Amino acid sequence: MNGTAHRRRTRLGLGALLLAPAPLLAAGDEALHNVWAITGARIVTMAGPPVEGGTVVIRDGLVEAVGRSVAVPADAEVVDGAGLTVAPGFIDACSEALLKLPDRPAPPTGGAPATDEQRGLTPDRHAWEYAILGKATLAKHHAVGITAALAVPGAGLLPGQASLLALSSEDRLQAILLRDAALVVTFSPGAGYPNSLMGVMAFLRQELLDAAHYGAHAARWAADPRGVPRPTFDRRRELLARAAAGSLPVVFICRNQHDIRRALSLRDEFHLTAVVADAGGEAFRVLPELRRARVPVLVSVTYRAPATATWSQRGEDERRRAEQELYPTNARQLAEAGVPFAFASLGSDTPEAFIAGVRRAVEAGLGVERALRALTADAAGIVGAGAFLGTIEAGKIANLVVSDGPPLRPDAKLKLVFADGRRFAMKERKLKDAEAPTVNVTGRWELSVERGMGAGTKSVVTFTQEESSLSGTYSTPRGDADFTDGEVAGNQIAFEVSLTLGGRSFDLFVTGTVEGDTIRGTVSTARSSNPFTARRIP
Amino acid sequence: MRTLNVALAAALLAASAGAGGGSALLRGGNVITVAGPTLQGADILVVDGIIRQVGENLQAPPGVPVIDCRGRWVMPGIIDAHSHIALEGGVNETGALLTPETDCADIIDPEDLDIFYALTGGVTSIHTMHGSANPIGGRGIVLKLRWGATAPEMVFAGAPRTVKWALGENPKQANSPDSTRYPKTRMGVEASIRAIFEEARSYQRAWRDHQRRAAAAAKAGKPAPLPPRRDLRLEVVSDILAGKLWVRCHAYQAAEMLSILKLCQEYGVKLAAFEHGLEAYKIADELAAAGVGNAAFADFWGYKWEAFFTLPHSVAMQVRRGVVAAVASDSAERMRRLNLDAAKTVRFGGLTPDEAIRTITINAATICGTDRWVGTIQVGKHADLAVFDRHPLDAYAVCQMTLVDGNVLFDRAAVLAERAAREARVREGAPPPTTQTPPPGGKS
Repeated sequence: MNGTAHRRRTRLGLGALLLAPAPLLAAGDEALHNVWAITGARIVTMAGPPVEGGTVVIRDGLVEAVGRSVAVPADAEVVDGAGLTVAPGFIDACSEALLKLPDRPAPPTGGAPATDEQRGLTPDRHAWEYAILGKATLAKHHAVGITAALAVPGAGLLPGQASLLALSSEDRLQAILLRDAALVVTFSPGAGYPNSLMGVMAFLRQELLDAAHYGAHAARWAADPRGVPRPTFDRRRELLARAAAGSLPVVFICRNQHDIRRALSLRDEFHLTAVVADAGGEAFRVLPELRRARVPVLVSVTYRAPATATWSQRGEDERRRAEQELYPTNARQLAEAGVPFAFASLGSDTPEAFIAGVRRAVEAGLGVERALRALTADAAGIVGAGAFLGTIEAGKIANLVVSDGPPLRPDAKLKLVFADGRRFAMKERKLKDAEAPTVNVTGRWELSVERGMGAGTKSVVTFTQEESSLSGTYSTPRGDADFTDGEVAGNQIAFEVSLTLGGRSFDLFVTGTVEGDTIRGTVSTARSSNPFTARRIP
Repeated sequence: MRTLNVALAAALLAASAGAGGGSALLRGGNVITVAGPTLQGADILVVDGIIRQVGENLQAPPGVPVIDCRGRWVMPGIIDAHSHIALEGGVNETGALLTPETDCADIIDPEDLDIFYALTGGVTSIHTMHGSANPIGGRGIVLKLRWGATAPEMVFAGAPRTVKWALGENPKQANSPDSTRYPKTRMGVEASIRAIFEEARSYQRAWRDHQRRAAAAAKAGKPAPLPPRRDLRLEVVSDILAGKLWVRCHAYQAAEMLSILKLCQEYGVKLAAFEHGLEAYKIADELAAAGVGNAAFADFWGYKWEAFFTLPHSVAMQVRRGVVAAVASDSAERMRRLNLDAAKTVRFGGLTPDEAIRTITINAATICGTDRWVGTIQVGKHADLAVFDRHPLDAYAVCQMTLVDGNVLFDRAAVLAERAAREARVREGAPPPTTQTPPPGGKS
């Protein structure tokens, strides 16, 4: 407490940035402050026992210091953590939601051979290149404490490579934590060869053999090219050779228990560094094999029995019972068997549903501490990020969750997250006044922006208003986007929408005042604010 | 336990096959041994999944349950030599013409409800396999229907591995007008098989050459040369040429069966059986002499032009001329009443009841290479047994109980009791279950 002049105190949950009409979740405040100190908090470091009344200092995106008797630097913005708990930011260990991948091409016709894309063979797609990290996407993850995710391209047999992304920036290059963290393999055939599950297995074996052969040939040539015909460069084999050599981990996306067995077979036959992504939630049915193999599992939390499951085949009642009583015990059973695991949003519709699914695993007996470890330290270890993520330790990346109670407890309210040391406040109401709506804007509106981006073009906004909540579609001549979390208060409306135009994402924040069949207001982007007028389309 | 389904699941899971064999004394049934005469009122003692004694007045060791079979008929578990059930993700790999690198062992689905349906008809083991889309398709596998077990536990240990071939209209893709795939004639189908045989021989030569060069290099202290690329498809064809895989060849017409038989003899290939073989009765002497069996239909024909020229007497004619002929299902529905299909050989072809029973037991086991373990009721064999309320060839016979490795995996009385209890609960006001009985699997 040295009372330096630039010391500022922030009260959580308040502050001008939370008030309309400014965009609420502006990318963290790091442009203003890159040094933070959370003081007097309970710090669940996941690297040792919790620190009571401790301090975490964050500088330049990293944890600078953590402990009970840590001095608060003079240049730090202080967050009073009294009554708050700080935990490592949660990691979604397998997410398909962050990527916008090209549509799968239709199968060939007229006997034409299938292209690699039609066959689902795109292993040289890098997840980070397809990541869309719009403001709304980041906010939805932060709202439940997720600050990093392994983004996985999931469509196709060899759909691509997974990237570990920090949910700290809309700039996908800045977000990269691990560029090519793993090769992704599914058991879903495309067109051409293979087009059956048994063909998939045969194909994968041959691919791995070919890759190993290619790798041996290339190594031979590199060591001494004399007398060795040079290998012809092959993108796919180059990559698979690293998987076959065990240096590139392989994430197998498994739709049911049988896929897990298939993954373990391939792992054993080719000595792969394998990770099972348990999309079907059936790892609990393969426990002895998983324990023997010590292969980590990325557990989905949707608790939907796959169609192959015996319960699914015996009628709706049995399927439902299994989904209520059995499938939620998956993580608990893995924990009891000593199989390492993390949680995966695979199949979850939203980050909120994902964390609700994790809570469900806790209710099914997993234990909240164990769940927290799976979401943080264990997830980081499994995805190969243990050196810099997953615990609160000096030198690690400052991904933190700050809440007013033990993390993951349903009654604990999340207050702040830090991702890469950037502070993100929780989303509050968009409109200052929470009065009841006096208008109903449900219907189609033609919106024209008077100057700035999009000026001169007409967009169509279709609103659905249910009491004070507003959802709809924003259609521009160059692309459409849906929005869901808008608000109506009195005759005021506000909503945010992320538009993807030409591969770039723009977040628009729209506020307006409704007068009869006209809305006048402002469309704001990160760069500018411009007036608009919208008229109801009869 | 609110519904039939829940109750049934409990019953079925409770009765699922454990790791080991079960023990039981089957008391006083009419035992169709297949290996010898039928014994009236005989006992069968099963210990740890193996038949230990067959005779009268046997004593159950302590703890071994007694199953009352008085007035019932006990036969060896029925063996379905031609099936496509219990497989996941498609039974045909049509992305290539010749696909022996594919393997049903990779896609065993031990949760397929058809397995339970098969048990309700007394079936205890099956040969399940690739479809008939390719001249050489994938490898097939013999499964014990250990309902409740895992995929690896279902595999019939010791049974020879098989490879599916197909001749005629299906590999020609005659039913796919858009198909541009070679071949389009029967000549082409056989030529494609011969071509890959030669390719496999070249592959083997390349590896032999490599091994020679590697040995020479080692002797000269030089680094070993780069080995040839491994080719899984040609390695499996090499196994076919070495006789390690039993060929199961889908065919209808006598001429193409004889032609492929000659090809197999030329290359030393083990042709275990034709599948369907509707015209096999025309070449019964040739098949018997070559030791080639036939997994036939009892009376199913006329569904395409190559399947016209047969008659319901075909199986009997083959049996009488020394062909190891089995009556098989190729169907998740027909497999549940193979006893009645076998009875047709009596009605039409004049086989004796014992000869007819052989077509769904020991003959099928011989074709599958499992006759050492199953197919008859004999001391030392696996206790795979089916219990019927009447002689199994009686048109009104209903399978009452099915044992695999001495474990009771289907007990009709228990299933009916569960159903009655559920119906009683519904009468008392419980909500009826929204049962969705899956349709019989129509895979082929």
